[in-house]
Amino acid sequence: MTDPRTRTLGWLLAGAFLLGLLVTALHPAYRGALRAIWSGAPETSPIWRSNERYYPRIGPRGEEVRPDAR
Amino acid sequence: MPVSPLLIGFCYAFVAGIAAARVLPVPPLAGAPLFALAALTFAAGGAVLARVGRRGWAAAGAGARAAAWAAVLGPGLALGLARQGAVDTAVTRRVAHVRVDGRSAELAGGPVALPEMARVALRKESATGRDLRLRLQGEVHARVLERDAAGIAALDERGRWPFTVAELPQRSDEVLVRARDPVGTVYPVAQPFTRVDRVEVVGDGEEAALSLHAVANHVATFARETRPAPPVRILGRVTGDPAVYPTRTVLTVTPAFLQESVGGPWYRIDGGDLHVEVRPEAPDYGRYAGRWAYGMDLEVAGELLAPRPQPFPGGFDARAFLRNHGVHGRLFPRRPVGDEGPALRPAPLPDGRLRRGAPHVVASLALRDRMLGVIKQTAPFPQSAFLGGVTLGLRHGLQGVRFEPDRLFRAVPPDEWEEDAEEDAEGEMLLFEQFRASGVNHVLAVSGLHVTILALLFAGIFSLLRIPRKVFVPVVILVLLVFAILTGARPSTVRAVIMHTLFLLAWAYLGQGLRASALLGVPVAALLILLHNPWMITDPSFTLSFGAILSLALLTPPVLALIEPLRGPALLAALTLVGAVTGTGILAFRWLATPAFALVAAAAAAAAWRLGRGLERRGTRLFGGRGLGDLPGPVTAFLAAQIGIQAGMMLPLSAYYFNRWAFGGAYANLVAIPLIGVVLQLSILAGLLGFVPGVGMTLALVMNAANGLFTALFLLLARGVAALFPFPFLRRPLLRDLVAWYAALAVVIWRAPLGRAAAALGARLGGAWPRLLRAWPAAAAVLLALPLAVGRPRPEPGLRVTVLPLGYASAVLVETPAGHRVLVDSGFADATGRRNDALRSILPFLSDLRIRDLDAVVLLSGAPERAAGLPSLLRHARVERVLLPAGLHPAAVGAGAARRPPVEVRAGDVLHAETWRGLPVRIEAVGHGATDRGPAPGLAVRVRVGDRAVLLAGDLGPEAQRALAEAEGEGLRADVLLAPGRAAGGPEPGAGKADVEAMLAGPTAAFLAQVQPSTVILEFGNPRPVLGRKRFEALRRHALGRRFYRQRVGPDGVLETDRDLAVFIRLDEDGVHVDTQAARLRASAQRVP
Repeated sequence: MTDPRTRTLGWLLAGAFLLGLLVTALHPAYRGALRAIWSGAPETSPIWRSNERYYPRIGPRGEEVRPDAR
Repeated sequence: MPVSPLLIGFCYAFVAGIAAARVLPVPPLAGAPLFALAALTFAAGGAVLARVGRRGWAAAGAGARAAAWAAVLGPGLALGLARQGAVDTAVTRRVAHVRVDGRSAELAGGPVALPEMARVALRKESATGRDLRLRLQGEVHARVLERDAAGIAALDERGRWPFTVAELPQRSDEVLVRARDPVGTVYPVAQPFTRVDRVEVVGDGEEAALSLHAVANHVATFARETRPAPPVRILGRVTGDPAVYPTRTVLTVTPAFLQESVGGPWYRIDGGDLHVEVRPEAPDYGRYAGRWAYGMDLEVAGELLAPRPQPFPGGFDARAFLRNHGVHGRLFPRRPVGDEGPALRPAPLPDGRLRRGAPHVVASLALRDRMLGVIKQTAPFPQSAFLGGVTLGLRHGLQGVRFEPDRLFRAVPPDEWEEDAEEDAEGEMLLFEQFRASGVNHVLAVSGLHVTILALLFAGIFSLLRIPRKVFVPVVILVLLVFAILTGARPSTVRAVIMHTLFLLAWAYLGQGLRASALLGVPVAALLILLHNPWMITDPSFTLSFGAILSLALLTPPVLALIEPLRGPALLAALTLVGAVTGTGILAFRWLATPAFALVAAAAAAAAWRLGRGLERRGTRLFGGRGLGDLPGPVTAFLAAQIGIQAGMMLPLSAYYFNRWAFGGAYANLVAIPLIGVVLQLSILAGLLGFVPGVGMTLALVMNAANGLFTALFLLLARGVAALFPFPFLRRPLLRDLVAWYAALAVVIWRAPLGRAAAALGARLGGAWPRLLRAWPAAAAVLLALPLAVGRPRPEPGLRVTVLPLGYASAVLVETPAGHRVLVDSGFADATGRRNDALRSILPFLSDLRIRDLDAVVLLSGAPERAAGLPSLLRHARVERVLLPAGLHPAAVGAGAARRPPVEVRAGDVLHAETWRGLPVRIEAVGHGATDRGPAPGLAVRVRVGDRAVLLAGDLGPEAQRALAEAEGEGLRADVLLAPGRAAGGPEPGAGKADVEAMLAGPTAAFLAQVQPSTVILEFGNPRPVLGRKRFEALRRHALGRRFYRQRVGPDGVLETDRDLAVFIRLDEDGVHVDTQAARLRASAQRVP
């Protein structure tokens, strides 16, 4: 048998996932981000662009982004 | 044998040893003998323990047990003393005695060989009747750096710097030992030596004793106190994760070699790291602004400055803060004049590659940046900045971030942010400030809470996957270790990881519970952290972390025992009390700490209790007959833990370290802590899902989409609490207040065993003692209150004037003998909230002096560097009167919030008068007129005791100075002058050097001739925050003004606040006493730093 606290964690995660699906479906920025991820161009996502000045040298895969490369 | 208690005892004795060495400093260089002593105590202790162990603990008598305890505590104490002694570095150490006998001098013990090229100094050990001229002769082994054709110093295959060593004869310049210098004067020798062969007497001498000292090649001894500093060049390695701020990058560099002057020899550095501050304008900035700079070898030229020491009592001590982290200097890259090559460049290996740092750290940092990439793709700004801070410890990225609710959750591109940032910024606090004010900023310091959440998340996931505990525990421990590294391995994280590791091991393999492992884990973690870096013992990150966990472990049970039985009328009374405290705290915080409030609150609680009793008698079941004990166990325990943390850590330590206490924190954290648990788990999960190829990033987006709602809730909570609850400045407690507070908490925690001990003692003594000792809590209360009742250290009598060093800004506190307090000027504050002298300097200083009320604030002019701090001051301190120069509109300086309408002041007005020991004490306006910024009105104020005076000349312009000198004549005389216009007038461009010199030689000279001060104070510092581009004009004018005052008054008579820090002036019947913070610090400094 699984520990009740662990079961609660499982339910919470599942609930969060459903909530996340709802937000992604309804929120235009998240929809845009989803399209950008699926099209393989995360830099075009509105969420990524809102983060342009936040650690600008860190790329989508944690790689170093050189200013001339952007 | 009770191994666990003995081990706990040993750890606490070690901590006590370090604390003792800090309070009663062990002489420098005492580390080695102390380690020998510690080793001896270890050997003796081991022998005693072995003997007790052989006989068996149960069979051992009380004497043997006491010996065993002593055998554990003694070595712990000795090891603590030795560890602290080992990190104390002497600035100089004596290497030989020098005997001067007439025309010859002798080095006792013959030539002195130093292990490395070092600077040396002579110290006067006996009085001399005449001046002595000495010269040192010997040898220097000078390193010369080899460079390739491109001027680059490349490392060799083994990563060593390429040097050739030239062994040269060395002869020093003459050292003049003046007869009038006191014994103990140190005379630096201009040239370095590797060996000193002899000391020569130049000309005639006489009998004298001196000593030869070698100066430590420690970074701190090369760092200069003030700018401009002649540039040095260093060769070193980046040994920490670069701190990347939006406006700069700070590299932690461990220097290996240092060159003091262009073309000079290189010193091998034997201690101390430094911070290299790289600006985005630097060539190849990107090479340094990220994890990839970690491990890199660098050659840097620039100004090496010592971190600023505590500028005034109660001010932030950047020197001690950085020292605690091993950093002793700040290097600002700048190419020396006449030098070639860039100020900052990496040094490659022979194959052109750059060295990298430790592989496990490199891997952890790469993992962190990968997770940051996921956060940036799945959470809009500023939620991303918040998640980066709480999940990955990237607090630097939050600097300057302002939280505007209408932008929340909207993914606004940065260009649009900036368009209307100015108007939105109005009145909105920085995110950091909101977190501090609401008491939830602890979530940004990766701590035990984060580690617990992470451990629970992973343990939960492994349990869901039905992996056995004994299998997954090592994996969870590995995750925690990686987490500690990638978040910067701060003491709070290290402490938590050590404790969780012990707990997880005990839980998985020994079947032990949380409390037992916590009580052992705390001291073991403290021992390991302090063994690595003993300076941490007074660092807030260490004390707050351990304060929190000890409060949790020790205070939660007694608080729980107190609140669980609350039900019915008692619960009603308790809720009334909480409501009274909350309401009063929000509406009139100052009233909370008064006896009147205590009486009213107690009366209200009693009335509520009676009401509850009455209702119950009539058959009403209050709260449905339920009490706090009926709430679910974890909820009551959480409530008790929050009360325990506030009492054990937040209130006392916040007041002690930060002079402030977030009153709303107690309430905000009831929601914030569970909420951060959700935010952190979802964020970590999203970060890890992002690694999964294919659908991973989509799942991460979904997780962080849900998390966006919780994050928004958290940010709104912090904002709401910061707006509703006060974040007041408190009177800073003394160390003994803290001791009394914690002793009282100890009585609460151990009241049951203390009560049993008192009863046992009473039974043993017999007679009336059992009855008397039943009142032991009252006796304990009296004992604890005794130190508080003996009064606080009294300041010396007289009138005190303190000039605060606020850079290019002003604030002067005047305290009269009768206790009247007047603040002259209120410092600078900018519109963004990043700089606010009132909040950062003036109020903490007042808090340190335990001042909450000011009788008056006087502004000498409306210039922002004197007036812009006024609104903050009025918000946080009770100011009876605001006094402005006549003609200055109150609204122009934000004086509208004053309790009473501001008063206009003109020349001749007496602002305060009293009599002290028969002497008249006056604060009076002596001058009123145009300032150096044009027609805007300004004031000059004189503070007087009898015929001793301090003149605060404000911003009086040349015409006003001339008019004042003519009107007052010799009546203007003052012992101390705070120079007008920061030495040479305002920053307005247009006036050439000749114009400024003419002003100084004309009106200012005439003014100075009437004042005749023996001391002139120049308030000056970095003008950039106040003046922006006009700063260059101000710098030029100030240089001229400084030279002028030094010529007129003499260099010893000029004090400068950027060099001498706070200036303390005391006027009494004996005269004027002037002291500075820098002089006080020098008097107590014998070590590095």
